[in-house]
Amino acid sequence: MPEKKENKAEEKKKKGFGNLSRREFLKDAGLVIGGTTVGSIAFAAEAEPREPGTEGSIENAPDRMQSQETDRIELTVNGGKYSFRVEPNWSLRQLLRDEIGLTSPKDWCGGLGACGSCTVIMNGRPVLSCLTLAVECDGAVIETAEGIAKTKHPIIDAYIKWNAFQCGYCTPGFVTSAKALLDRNPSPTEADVRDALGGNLCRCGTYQQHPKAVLEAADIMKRS
Amino acid sequence: MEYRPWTWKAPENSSEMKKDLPRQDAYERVSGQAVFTRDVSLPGMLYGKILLSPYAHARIVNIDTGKAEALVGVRDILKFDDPDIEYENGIHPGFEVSRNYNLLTLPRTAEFCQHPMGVVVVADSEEICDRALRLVDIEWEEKPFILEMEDALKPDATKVMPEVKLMNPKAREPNTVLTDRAEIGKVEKGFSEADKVMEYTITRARNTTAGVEPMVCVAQWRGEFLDIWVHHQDLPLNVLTTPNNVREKPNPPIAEWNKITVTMPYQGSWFGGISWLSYSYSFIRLAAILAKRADGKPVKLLYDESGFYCGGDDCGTYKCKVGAKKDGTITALHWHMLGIRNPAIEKTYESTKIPNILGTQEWALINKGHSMCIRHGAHCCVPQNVMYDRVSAEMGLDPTEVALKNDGCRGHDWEWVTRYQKENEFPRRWSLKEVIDKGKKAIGWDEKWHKPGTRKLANGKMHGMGFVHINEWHWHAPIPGISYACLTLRNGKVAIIGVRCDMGVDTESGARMTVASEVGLKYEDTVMLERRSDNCNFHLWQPGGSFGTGYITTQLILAARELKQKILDYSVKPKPGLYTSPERPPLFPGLTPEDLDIRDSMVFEKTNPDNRRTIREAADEFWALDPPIVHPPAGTLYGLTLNGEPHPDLYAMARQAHFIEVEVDTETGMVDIIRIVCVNDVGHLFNPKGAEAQQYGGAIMGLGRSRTEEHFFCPDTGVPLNYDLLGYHIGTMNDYPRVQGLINESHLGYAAYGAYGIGENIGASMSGITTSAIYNATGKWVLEYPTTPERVLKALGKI
Repeated sequence: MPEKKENKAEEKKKKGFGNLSRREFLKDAGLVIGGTTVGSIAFAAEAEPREPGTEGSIENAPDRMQSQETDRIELTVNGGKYSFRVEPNWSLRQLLRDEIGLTSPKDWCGGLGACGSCTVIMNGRPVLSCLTLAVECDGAVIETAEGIAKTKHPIIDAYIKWNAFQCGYCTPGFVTSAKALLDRNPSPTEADVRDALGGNLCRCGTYQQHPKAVLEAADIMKRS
Repeated sequence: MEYRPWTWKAPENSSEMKKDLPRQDAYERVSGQAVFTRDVSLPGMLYGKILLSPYAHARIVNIDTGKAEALVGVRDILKFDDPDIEYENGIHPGFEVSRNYNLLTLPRTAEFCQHPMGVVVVADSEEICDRALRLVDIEWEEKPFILEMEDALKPDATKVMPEVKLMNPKAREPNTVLTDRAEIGKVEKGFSEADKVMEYTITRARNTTAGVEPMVCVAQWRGEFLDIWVHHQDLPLNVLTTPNNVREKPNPPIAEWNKITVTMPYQGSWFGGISWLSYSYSFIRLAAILAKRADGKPVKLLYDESGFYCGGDDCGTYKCKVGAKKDGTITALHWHMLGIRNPAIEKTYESTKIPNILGTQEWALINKGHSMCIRHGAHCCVPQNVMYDRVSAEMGLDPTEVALKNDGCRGHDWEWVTRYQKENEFPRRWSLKEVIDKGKKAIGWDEKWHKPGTRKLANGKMHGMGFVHINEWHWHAPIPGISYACLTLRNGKVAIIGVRCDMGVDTESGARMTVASEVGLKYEDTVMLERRSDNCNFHLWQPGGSFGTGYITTQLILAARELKQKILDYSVKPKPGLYTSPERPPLFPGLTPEDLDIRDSMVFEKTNPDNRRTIREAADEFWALDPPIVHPPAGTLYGLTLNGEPHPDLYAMARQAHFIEVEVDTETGMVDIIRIVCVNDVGHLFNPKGAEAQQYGGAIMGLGRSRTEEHFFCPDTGVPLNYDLLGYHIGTMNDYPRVQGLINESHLGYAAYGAYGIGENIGASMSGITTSAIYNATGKWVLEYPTTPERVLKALGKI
């Protein structure tokens, strides 16, 4: 058996840094995601990792309920106005699920932005709510699959008609991506649809039904 | 066989009805309002998370949870040595070979990197759990590890898991947990009769479920009563109610059977896998234990990385030897399997006339984690797929000809099968011929198939055609005692009642259609209603799993027929008085039940259809005095006997055939799939949309296993390098063209109307097809899966 090599990564693991979640990593590092710098200046000042358990380390960061580092944001979600005090490390998905009680922004990939299951529409653009910080959403207009269904958008019936889902866990992410596409391009081609939904994963393998559903919804919208 | 549900005829109106079966839960799933177990949120709910091992093999020497306990919001910390969890998994469900691993929920020793083990933290939020776990101070003792099966099987290998009990009587020190040998016929004699004997080796890298909705369980106690919400494909009663029988002093059951209420909400797809490992049951047990310590508060136990916990059971090495005559008749085969959990000869034996078959097997513990069948796995399919290609290539034959030449059942040729069909009232059909003919026509096989490596396209790529086939499986009828049908009728509407755990394959629509057509109801007057407990046996066993509609409809049909007869009887009887209402005359005075029929939820006189009344009018008052209909399975037919052997009287007669057309870039090794055609003989089709979904869904997953899905491990540390969806490549919308699905209905299954299940077939059977197509394109064998561009280039001698 090969001899084991000690390295910094292993050292880190031994000390317990091996399983940092995305949120915790953000909190610890002040990170650039998707080309946009997120986090406050104060955040960036905290970028140096500290020994776990020491003062100022992420483990000893204040509990959410006790935190003073909250920002107040106001946003519109599915037509309703909301106001929250949010911690700087909260993701939009966390806000939508834990504070507003929506279930459509799902978590499959563990907040890596790899699956598209948490996609929502923010100011007309599809965004991954797991990679969007809640503090960025002040003044934002958010649509989720629940809101799209509430407006009786034809994409919902088209998805049902074409059976463009199986277990349904990833489906709301597809629906929001599709609705965002139709908002900006009411006459998409199949290639457009595949392009727009290409970042959404479906383990049930329902992919071929989605273009049919989206194109039908576009057709219905044109006729109406 | 007196019990012959395959001879039952489907009602005439079912053909029209099943053309469009709206799913009862479609809106919830599409709009995101479906509540999965991950979505369950209860007042005062606490969260639990388990430590994941950073080492491939390591033991906790000392553990200090002091800092974690001091963290605000931490409510409980449970360690491996706590008396509350001091149990083993001996009685828990799960397959024997996998149980050889240390499947305790909180073992002291980790056997693979990311193994959940050691300690669990319960806190007010997920974040606090994560934070607290990092504050746990652990002194580790790193232990030697082995990642490759061949290394672990060596007699002088390091004993990698001394803490694990080798449970199988055929286990062999130091690491071999299973050795097996099964011979049918006389294999050496078969090889001596062959014109050509071929030997080759197939390897399959570890793949995994990457299932959506990571593992989760919510538990809450109300005194002695346990409410539990599970994400699982099975009902967890045993793990909660049965004492451990391994230790000298077994732990008592956690709850009494009649005090447990299980809810199986919407289920994110798992495809079996971890569901069948004891670990997933222990996880549920752990959630109940944690909740018991939480003074009535609900506890939501989470395991975010669970999609990568379990590897496929087809991962390993197949050393193959095949003997054949010049006309393509296979005389003998021997597959020696290293690391394959199940014997791979099962499907070949079931679906061929090959008289001499030998399977030998060795399986050892390694530090990559557990393995289990995922969408059945492909251990049975890949060696068979490749065998036909090798024989046809060697003899210069079309592989579809070789397939037909060797078709049969358990050594019997198709003439014998035809006689069996006649004796047992099956239609005389040759399923394989039918599915091959359909598939060849759809993909243009006769025009496009060519000798290997002979067709270069204008774009410079090599053109190839691939073909695989195997039997359809799950030809079972229900097992007595496991699945009952329960129907109730009120207000003219019928509810099918049962615990369901639908992963989304939509068995519900097929079941509703079956009941509606048998009774004479409108489809929309039926519903599948979840009963939120599993101590009733109405649990429609795995309605969303492997067995599907074919499995549950047999008893539903009997219940539906009983219900129809009751409605007709009510229609001609005086209506009973209820409360202050007096008794009233019959709805159809002077007629007998035989004079009446039901269609579109209306009871009518056969000779005077205008004389019609609604079912509600006919039956409502009676139903208030009558219990629901409960019907057990009427027979005992099952594809396997209870000891796992094929049932001696049952034969897998229906087949599936799959075809692909590819273009291979010999400069880059890229394989573009141009067309996919899947043909499945489902026996009888209940739900066209559902069956089609299994075809394209299975094809995408099967091709993923065939082309891209592979776990990588660092050889120096044993750390998995792509334990997430960023690194583990499952297909996207842009990786595959449309799958053309074609259905054949031969009525050759043993379930009602002659149905087979289609729940997992294609995912397994497609997983070897790229080898076939790449060989046809290039004349080179790529027998390492997945058939990545690197491996194609290697086969071409370019790297």
